[in-house]
Amino acid sequence: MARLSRSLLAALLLVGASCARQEPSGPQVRHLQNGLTIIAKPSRAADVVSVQVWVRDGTIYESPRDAGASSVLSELVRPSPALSGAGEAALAVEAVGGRTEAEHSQDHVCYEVTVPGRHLDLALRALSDAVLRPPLEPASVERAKTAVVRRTASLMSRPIDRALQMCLAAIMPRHPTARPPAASASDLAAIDASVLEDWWSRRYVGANMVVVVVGNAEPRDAADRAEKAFSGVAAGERAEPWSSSVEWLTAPARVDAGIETDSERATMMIGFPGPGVSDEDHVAADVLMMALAGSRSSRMSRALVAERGIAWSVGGGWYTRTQASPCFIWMELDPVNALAAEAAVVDVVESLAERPLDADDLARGKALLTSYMVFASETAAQQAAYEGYWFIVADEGYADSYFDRIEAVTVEDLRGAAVKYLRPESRATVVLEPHWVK
Amino acid sequence: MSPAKRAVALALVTAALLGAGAPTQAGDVVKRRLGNGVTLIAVPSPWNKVLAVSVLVDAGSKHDPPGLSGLARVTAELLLSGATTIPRAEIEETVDDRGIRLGSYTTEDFTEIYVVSTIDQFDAAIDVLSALVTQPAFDGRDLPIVQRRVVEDQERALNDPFAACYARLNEILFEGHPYAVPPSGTKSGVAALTRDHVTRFYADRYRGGNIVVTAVGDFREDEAMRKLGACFAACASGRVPPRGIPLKQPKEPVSYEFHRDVSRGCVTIGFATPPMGSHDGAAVRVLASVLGEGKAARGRIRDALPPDDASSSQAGVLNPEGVEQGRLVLFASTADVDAAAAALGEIIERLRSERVPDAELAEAKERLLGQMALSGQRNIERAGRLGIGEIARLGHDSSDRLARSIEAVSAEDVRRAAVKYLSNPVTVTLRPGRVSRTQL
Repeated sequence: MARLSRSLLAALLLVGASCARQEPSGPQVRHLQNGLTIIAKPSRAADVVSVQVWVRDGTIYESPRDAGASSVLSELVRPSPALSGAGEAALAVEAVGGRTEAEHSQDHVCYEVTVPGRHLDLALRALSDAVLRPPLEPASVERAKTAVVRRTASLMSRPIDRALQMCLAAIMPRHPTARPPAASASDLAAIDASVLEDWWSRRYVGANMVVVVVGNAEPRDAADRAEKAFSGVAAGERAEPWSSSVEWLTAPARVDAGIETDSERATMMIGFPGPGVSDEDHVAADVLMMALAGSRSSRMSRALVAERGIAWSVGGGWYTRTQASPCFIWMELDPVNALAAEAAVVDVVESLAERPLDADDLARGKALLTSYMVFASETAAQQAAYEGYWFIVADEGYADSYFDRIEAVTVEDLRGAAVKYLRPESRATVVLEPHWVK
Repeated sequence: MSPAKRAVALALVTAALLGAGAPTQAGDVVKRRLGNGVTLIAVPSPWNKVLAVSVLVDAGSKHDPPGLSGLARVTAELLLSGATTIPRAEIEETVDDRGIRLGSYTTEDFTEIYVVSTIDQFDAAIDVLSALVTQPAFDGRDLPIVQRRVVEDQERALNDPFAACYARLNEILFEGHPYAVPPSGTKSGVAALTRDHVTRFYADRYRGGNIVVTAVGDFREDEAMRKLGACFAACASGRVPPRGIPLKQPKEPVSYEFHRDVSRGCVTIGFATPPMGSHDGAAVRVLASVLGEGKAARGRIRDALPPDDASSSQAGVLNPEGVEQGRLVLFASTADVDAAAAALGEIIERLRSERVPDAELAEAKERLLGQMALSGQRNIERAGRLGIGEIARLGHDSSDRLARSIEAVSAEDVRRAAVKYLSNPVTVTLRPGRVSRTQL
């Protein structure tokens, strides 16, 4: 492993030392000429600063011809010494005990560098190098494809993730969200350097990105530095999803499959239609799923675990997405109980007509969703992710309103969302049995 | 997470708890001692809406009586099953419906019972936690369930190559001392436990002088102190000192091998290092960083081993500290155990005979301090860090002092630490091959 030169390390330390403390300022939101938005907020619980770049990119923006482009590109942009053109800066991040992360999803891509507070400039440089100058030569592209395939294999080896992917494919079969992740190099044969160059030039543009800095840094100064580091981002247009609508099932679908696992338990995932972030009742749907299956005292858990004993654990949720995405109920169970468990879930849903959700359900759903979000925005990196995620998936300002939106949900909202989305006739069920059973 | 990764993660978390040194920029740390001996620490922190309360008890597995290994862990888990003052159903409903998280873990030195919630559940969270800690029901019907869970953990660890090596290494390194047994105990020890053992252990160890309660969150310090004081006044008073079992360290190098039907073998080389708070502690931490502590893909071990063996999950250093003794363990999971063992041996010899170059030393210190700043950012981790310093009688600011000491470590300090502590290695090797049960 290459070691940093003494002079580079000395330079880094000098840069850190030069970050003199200034007068405190409040959170900063800046809109640059190139369309890029910069958000800087303080969080001084630890001497750490997290810089994140969020891009409006991912599977939903790909046509069938482009399938895989966003994921391969995310591997090339990822600030890692092994793959990226930002190798030296990424090495320097490691040398100061920092951390680099990247995440590719259906509707967002995120790159993160988190470092001790005095190394803010290093984090900005590592990320701007990565975003502005990804290595698009053929050898790097091939390595990135291999990395994508390896990640898919890892994802699909986990029962819950595999069941989720299969359930997406079953419930919204014609939508890009349902495309299976690349399982082999041949799935990515059409993705070459020229495709990626074109993809990068259209997606990694100011109107399509936000840079977030959260941590032990003075916000105005941090925003100044971020502005300087990312001034080279090209202007461009905001990306639009490839498919404008989602078609749900009109009759139930069921998929039974096996998975290599040493567990004796099967995994069941049941998907129902769900909203997108632009639907007015999307927060109600979020609270609904928490109320219905978010804890041991929720109706689903009581019915399947406590009363009938046909599942070991039950969970549920809806993930806020740019476009409509399913509401899920999942569980671990003995494979012999799969049919009974699916019927029990339908029973609980249908019983909502006779025993509608009430104030207790609402209070539980709100408390669980609130605590989930509070726990997920605890550290500087999590707070940066909170800002970036809502900016890209929803829009500017949404992050500040999210907890108020939860509080505003009423019992009537909850009941309305249940009727609208939990339609048994449109459900898709996936049962993954451990191979030892077969 | 695999048992090996869990073992590594636990060791890293422990190291982080003991060593994270970035100066916190929350409000002042406020400390108070109750009449029954309980120490309360409150840290107002406005940077998120999470409340974390850690109850650290001087009741680690080193206090397990002979033949009852696992008692500390089982006591901590059984304690979570209910309180005499609040019906069990009410606790479950409160916790479930309000998104409150309760948990416990046991190390060789301590047990921690903790709660994490949103700050608006301040009263409910502390009420539940204090009821469990001060008035546990110890429902005997739950004992077999807890025993089964702990034994399953033991079995998972034994099936994992690295964890099996690590367990054997501890047996040799700390022979005759409770540190030789993992905190989850032994199968026979856990099977022998009765409710009576649990209640007696609780009465003996869970006394005010053995307890530190630390809260971190967006609260007013006076309100937090008032609430914690009222809730933990019910603890029995007194303090039971440790048993004081002397440590006998190997006087010469020790090697141990065993075989398993695995494709990759595993080499672990371990040394006893000074106890927490020792003057040499900072130099040993820097020494571990030079070797390549933590998950960063840097350090001498990564440089010396072939790339396949040197990935972060397969080679590195653990440096968990302990109140009575720490340890430094080099490890590599590899197809060629002899080559890896030789490479690790050479690295150790060089550190003993040559000073680390200035640039490498500066990088190792910078990396270590950065890792310490990044680890343990969550409120519960911050609470645990302050509490461990306090309960180890080093002061809640011990991690800040360690960070300052690390900055002052010289190349000669590192060499001296290597000479002093990296001697008489205990090497445990798992070779791919025929299973030999008798060896285990």
